[in-house]
Amino acid sequence: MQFKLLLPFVLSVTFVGCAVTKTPEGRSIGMLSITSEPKHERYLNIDSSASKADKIQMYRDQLVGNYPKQDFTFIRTFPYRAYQSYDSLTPRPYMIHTIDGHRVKVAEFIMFGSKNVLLTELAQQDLKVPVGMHDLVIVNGFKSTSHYTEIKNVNFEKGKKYVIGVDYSKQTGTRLYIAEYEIDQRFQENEPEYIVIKKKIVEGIEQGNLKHVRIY
Amino acid sequence: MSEFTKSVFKLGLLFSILVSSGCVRMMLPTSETQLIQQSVDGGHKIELEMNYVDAYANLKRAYDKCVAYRSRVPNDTSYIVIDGQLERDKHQATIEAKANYGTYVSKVNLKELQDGKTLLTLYLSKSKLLTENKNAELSQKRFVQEQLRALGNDPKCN
Repeated sequence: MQFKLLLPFVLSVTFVGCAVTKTPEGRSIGMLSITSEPKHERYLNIDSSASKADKIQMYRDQLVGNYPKQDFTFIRTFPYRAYQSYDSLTPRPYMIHTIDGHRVKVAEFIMFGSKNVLLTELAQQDLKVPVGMHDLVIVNGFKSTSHYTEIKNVNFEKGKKYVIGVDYSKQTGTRLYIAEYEIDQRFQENEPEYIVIKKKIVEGIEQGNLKHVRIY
Repeated sequence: MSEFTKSVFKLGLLFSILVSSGCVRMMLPTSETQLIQQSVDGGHKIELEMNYVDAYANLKRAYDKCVAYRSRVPNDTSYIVIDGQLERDKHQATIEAKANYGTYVSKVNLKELQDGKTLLTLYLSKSKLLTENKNAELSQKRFVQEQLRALGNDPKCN
């Protein structure tokens, strides 16, 4: 009898999967079944047959409607070498997950679709962000683990461009920064040398200071 | 299959694994230090009349085009990958070519000198199957090619 009750649970976990969330305080909220967000909250409202250029443009401009009558600047992800190929070892790039609670959406990946824009491609595009002080949550990850990093009071100034990157050392681990940059035209846009870091406006932010989520 | 055939087969398999990994690592340098120590003539040096970032950009483009390699033959996993590092804060750059089994093929150092000049140093791994003279001849040829590429004057690769 007990087996009959247990079986549906085991099957649902097996087929649906579950997530374990770990907070920076070490609190683990374990084995929750995945509550997937509705598609319209995760993905841009664009036809899957739209061109790659249109999808990229929509990604870049998506926050404009949320901040009417405001000036905008741009932010992108440092073009790390790991983002220049796409296979099972390609990490999920550092991308803005929310800005002041507004979700930054991405283009939906369509199986066998020829006009897909990968996350690594989107991350290296200039996303328009409003000038002024803002609270960000940045997401990144590798395989089934995602790290959510909160950065409060980031001051974006007009006329400057920003890049999200990381510093790594054995002592401190992975620390995020947001920096002003200039470009070096001698290199291609997808090469790390293309970005010349000028001034870090935020640095030393511990990766995953909000939470780590692992999907089983 | 007789016990003898099986044993020969197992030994052959073991031997081929050793040949393809261990022996390659024995013959070629497996670290930067080893590469520098074993390089032909302890490395070739020359001063270039150009900025070190320009030289790096030219060389990197040429390496991507003409040195980087991945075999397209099925079951052949040989490759050469390029690892470039531009350290603007230290005014220097390096480009390394690495092959299978963590072995090093070559390394180029570019260091900024005064008056916008650059010191180019090429370390090339010595082939143990060739004589000293042949090694020197080949490395000299490659060094000339390296200078051309750094200046952006190799029509095939720049």
